[in-house]
Amino acid sequence: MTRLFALVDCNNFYASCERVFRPDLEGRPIVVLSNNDGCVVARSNEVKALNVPMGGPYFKVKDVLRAHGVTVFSSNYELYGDLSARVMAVLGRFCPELEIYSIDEAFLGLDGFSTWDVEAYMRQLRATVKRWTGVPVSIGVAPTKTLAKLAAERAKKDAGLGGVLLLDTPHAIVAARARTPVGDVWGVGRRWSKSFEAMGVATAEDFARQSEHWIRKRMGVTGARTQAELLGRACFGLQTQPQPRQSCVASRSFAHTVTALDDLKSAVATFAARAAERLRTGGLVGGQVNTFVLTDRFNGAARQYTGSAVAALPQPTNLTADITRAALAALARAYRPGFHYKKAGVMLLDLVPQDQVQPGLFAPGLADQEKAQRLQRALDAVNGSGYGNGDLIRFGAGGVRTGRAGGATGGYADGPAQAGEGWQLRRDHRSPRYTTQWAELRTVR
Amino acid sequence: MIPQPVTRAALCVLPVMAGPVRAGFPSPAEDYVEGGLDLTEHLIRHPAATFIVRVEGDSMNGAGIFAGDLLVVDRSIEPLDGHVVIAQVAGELTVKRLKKDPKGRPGAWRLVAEHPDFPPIRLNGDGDGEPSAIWGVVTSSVRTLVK
Repeated sequence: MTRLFALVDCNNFYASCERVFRPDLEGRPIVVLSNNDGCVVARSNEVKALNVPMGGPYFKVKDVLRAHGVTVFSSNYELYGDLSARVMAVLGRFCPELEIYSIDEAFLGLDGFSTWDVEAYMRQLRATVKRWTGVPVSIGVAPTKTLAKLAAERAKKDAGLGGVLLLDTPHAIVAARARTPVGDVWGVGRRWSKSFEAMGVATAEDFARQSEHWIRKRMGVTGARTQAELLGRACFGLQTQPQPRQSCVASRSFAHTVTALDDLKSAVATFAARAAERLRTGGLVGGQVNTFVLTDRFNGAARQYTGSAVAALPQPTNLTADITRAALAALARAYRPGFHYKKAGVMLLDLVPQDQVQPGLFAPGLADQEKAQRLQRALDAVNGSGYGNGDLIRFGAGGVRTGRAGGATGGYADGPAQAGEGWQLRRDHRSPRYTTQWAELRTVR
Repeated sequence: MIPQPVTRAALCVLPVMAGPVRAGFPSPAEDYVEGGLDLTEHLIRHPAATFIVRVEGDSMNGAGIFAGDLLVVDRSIEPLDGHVVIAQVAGELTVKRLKKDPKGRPGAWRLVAEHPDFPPIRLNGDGDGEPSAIWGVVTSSVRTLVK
């Protein structure tokens, strides 16, 4: 009975999510684009053969995609977040020791299993996730997290493994290491892989066989831990409690550049509301608000400027009205006229848990604070009801005002920029939000 | 970003207050306060596996399912003979009743409409009895009468 870790990794997650409600796309090539339809962030397996690089700009591959009949989607984060939560809920039923690592990966702690039934249990888990949520996953099981990740990668790439790989013998571990490029090892990545390959350390096996001194000299103590993990000695445990956030950022690039302060105010008000909402969800309050604005780094012809200003909050808070006021005050100091801004954002700093806040000497009275919090809850209830298409009510430069009723996709998610809201995100190819908006449900005949 | 596990929003969990609190006599109903009625809990047994779709067309009118109805679909339930299911047919999602095919080989299934204009659809069975084209089982339908 050894302590084993499993890494559950969703296959081509965004592309797989798009297929859940579109069975006609099973086996067909799909790509998903990043925010603003800028880059390719997900590809189905059928696309990988077409020389469409991951992370590459969309405009460069647009013709290749059209020629091969590839279906293109804009990111539908509402759908992906919802399906991810479902996958994690299923994992939680199979294993109470669960660390959610990212939107599409989780570690499980498997204690007290003898190895002969771990594999069967993982196969059952994989089938259940696919049955319940429609999302296919690959699973790696090993004595350390680094090896589990390596095994999951092998399970994903090698069709003969049936989606699950258990590394339970030294022979299996060596074989898996020998087939894994050193750049695919968790913690190594592209930063080191080029120089390592040049030195003849091309696989995870080569890396594991180096002396600890060799590793430490180049990668320091984190490299030594990675090596120990590859050798079967667990250095990382499961983090089942989420780490406390240090900061909370809401920012976006704009579909078209923006020069007027009023347009930036509208964007910053929206970002402030988003960031504040995340604080409330996380039970945190913030002490400082940083607003930043940027010109387009990739446009060599334009004058470049990065503006950033911080406004302190008189009292730590997570209420949208207070944070928006501070964000707009910071914007006024960060903004310079005459520049073409391509991106803006709001970052909340000095985050502490809500229940640890000491009221200051000049803080508003308890009754006023409770009134403000009741108002906030009422607004959250309206905005989050699933009936509003995006936020119905936002705090803008002129106090409370209603957002645009922008059709089925809502003001925030509309396609090409509209007059007066020139900073809106481009999401020309977004699929319906099947699981979070009543107006966008899947229909059946 | 840490995704939160699926939680069920309770629609109606107001404790039933037996009466206004007064100084003096306590309410005789005080010991009998129950929770309110939670429609979500009633309709959704497996939140992670449950999806909601909207009906178009008349193919299941005979089963009391009409265009505009919402269907609560549970993907975790094993589809059985007689269940109303959502199935994949020719790349589309359709709502029909699942029936064993009396004429086909053992393990073959049919999708049967409940309207005279729609003929049954034969499904290719997997031999093990469960058709792989089933997207989920319809557990409830919701019809809104006042729009």
